[in-house]
Amino acid sequence: MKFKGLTIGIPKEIMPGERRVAATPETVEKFIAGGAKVLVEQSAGQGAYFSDDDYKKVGAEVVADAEKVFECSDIILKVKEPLFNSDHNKHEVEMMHAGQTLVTFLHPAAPANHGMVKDLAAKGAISLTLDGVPRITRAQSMDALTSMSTVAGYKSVLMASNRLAKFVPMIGTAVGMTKPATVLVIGTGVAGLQAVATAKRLGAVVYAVDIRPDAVEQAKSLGAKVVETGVPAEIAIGEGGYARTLPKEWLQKEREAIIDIVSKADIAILTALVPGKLAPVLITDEMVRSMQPGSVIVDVAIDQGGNCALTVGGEVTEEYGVCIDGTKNIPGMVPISSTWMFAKNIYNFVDYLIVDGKVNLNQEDDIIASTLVTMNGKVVHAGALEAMELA
Amino acid sequence: MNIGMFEITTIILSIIVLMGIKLMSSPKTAVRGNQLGAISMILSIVLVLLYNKIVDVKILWVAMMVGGIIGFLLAKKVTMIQMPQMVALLNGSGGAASALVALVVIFETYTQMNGFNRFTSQLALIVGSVTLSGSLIAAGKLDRRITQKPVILNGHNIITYAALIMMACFLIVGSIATYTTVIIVTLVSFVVALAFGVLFAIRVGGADMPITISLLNSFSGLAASICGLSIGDPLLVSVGAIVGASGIILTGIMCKAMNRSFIEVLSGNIVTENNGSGPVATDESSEQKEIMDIPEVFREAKKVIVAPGYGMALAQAQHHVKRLLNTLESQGKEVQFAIHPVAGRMPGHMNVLLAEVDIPYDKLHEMDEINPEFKDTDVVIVIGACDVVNPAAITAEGTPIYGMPILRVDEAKHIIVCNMDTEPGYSGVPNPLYNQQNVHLMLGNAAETLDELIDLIK
Repeated sequence: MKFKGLTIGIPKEIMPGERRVAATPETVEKFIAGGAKVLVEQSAGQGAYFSDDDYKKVGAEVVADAEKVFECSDIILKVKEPLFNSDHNKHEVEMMHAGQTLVTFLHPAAPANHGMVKDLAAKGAISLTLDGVPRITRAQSMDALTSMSTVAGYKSVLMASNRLAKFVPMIGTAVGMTKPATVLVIGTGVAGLQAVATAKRLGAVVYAVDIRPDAVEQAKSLGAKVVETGVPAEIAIGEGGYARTLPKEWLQKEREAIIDIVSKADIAILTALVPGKLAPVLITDEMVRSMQPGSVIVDVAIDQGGNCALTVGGEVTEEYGVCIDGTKNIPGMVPISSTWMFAKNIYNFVDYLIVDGKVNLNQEDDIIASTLVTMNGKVVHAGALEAMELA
Repeated sequence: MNIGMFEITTIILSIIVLMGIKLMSSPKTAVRGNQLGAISMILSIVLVLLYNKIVDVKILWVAMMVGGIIGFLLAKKVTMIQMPQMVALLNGSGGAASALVALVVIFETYTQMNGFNRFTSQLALIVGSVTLSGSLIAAGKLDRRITQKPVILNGHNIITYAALIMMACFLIVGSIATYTTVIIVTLVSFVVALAFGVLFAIRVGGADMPITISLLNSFSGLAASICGLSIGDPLLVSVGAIVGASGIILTGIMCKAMNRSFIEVLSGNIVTENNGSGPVATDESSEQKEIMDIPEVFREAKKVIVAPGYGMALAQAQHHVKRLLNTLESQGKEVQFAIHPVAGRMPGHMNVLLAEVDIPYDKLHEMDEINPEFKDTDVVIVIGACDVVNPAAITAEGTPIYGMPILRVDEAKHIIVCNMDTEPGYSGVPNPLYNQQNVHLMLGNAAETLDELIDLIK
């Protein structure tokens, strides 16, 4: 009964187009079995096809008013960062109170969120961001970023295949054999690997590119063919195994190394990211022009600027006969699966956070230290503080 | 400098070394600890030069320059991956230093030494030589120039004990005999000690290498300390003892983490993949593994569970897994697959590969679902998995996988492991499963070893 005495609030997500929710009836049931009281805002789960009744059946209290959810909860669980709620003409941070805990994807380092983070601190709220969960073994069950990247990688291939003007697998027909589609995945981290796997399942011939040797090995372990970039490992690998921003000459060399395969690709899935920085532009205007008309590019990296020079954020456009998909928030398009994973990640995180019915902020702990954003009226997140200095 | 200052400086330098070691226990302060250690070494050299009034001996400076440059170049050139073998190499040179000093001392001053000094110099020679050859073998194994597998000669244990007894005899004779006898005995002792070091290190397999290196580290400190006793240098005694003690403690911690006894490791009975060679009468602590009769085990087996991991993906062995499944099912056995939540390097890694070869969904089971079944399972086949079946996750506090729930393959009746080698997995934590009595290792590329397995059970 470790959650005894705690009230957990699940508001409806107000970001336009957001269909995920921070708790499923399954995780709500677990919170309640642990002794917590759970308040769910009316129709919070609607986008993910969970009805108010589904939540009521497991013991949650469905509340019509968002403000009441914030008012009466000790812990607020959300999917996206607090935003201005136009229905109530109040910012979600305003609806919070001192001593309240907020767990969500805060992205505190992004300049657009600096004001909101400072407001959270001023409110006296304790906030933790799921995008800070370290990639260590015992935190894997709480790693919501990996979960969402998994969804994005998978879905991106389906989106691309949907728009592709050809068959994906090889098909022998009465009038001849079709060639299988060539899928190029740039960046084989979490999203990229899942894209490789999905493309393989569809029957494509898959090529993978990554500047990190480990990532390349993992792509090979899924049956992908690898295109070497020639970038030395010391330059490519940054802290935590993520990629580093390459200096101009190496970026140029990387582009040259992939020019050939890009022109042959029917589908290009772009997932090359550098944590906290702008995504590198790897596909130039010329390279798009060299692709076959009817091909598709899905720029998964658009959330951080995009890997293709021609991607329009949030839109699907066509240039030189090539479809360029810059849809943001791809996980939101697969709400049942992404919510299933997210709700479990956040449940595991809260379960880890709560000791004896209270929020335990042990800053010696790796996981708490990297996810804590505000505490005791101050902003404590290292990445956010660094970005704020530069702002 | 006068006597009093020397003692005081010795104490100060020893304290600095201790502080350095303490700082090395946390990643945040480790670099500083290393620097402190280096500084105290330099100061010790300066102290020795001044105290013994040998500052103007030119050849010393030439030697130090050569050594320093070699060390510097090595350290610069070596990549992070080669760090363990470089450490082993440098450790060996520490042992060599003690052995060489002991040799010189014996050759030059035997007649003037008292019993204590004679004894300690012989001992320093032995321990230093064992450390030298043992470390060289360890470095060779780590660098993959020598086979990773334990090399066990016919009657290995007998030879080892014989060497030990011989060294003990030389030790005594070398402390009491006349000069010429002692010289001969010393040289023979040197060779035997080197051979012992080789025997000791060559039988260690991949999984136990960290413990062996830690032990050799400790030995080099011990050798230095004993050498210090023989030449009457308190600073050497002190620093050597610090290194020797911290090495032993570290070895003890590692043994505990791997659930192996200190004696098992010390007696050289480390990973015993005994090919039944020679009577191993003497040692009770050596657990002889019976060679698993694979055809027999499979003939009797009714329930089989397969636990795949990243290694299967790397080898792209899913097709061979399908062949294995077909073979077992055609023999009427029940086969299930245990998929650990983080097996592989991405979610669904195992799924997509097994799906490629049409292994039905209903054969794939999550960890929580299948864990209770291992104790009733006749055979588990682990394919390219290490961390997800590592029992050390339950006991080894402070390691990256501590607390991670694992597949309890260790509870099954017979376990066959088709991994590339016995090196630690992604986490770097050694896997004591490999040492279990009922585990049979089939090392190498999973595609090949699975083929061998299928041939054995057809």
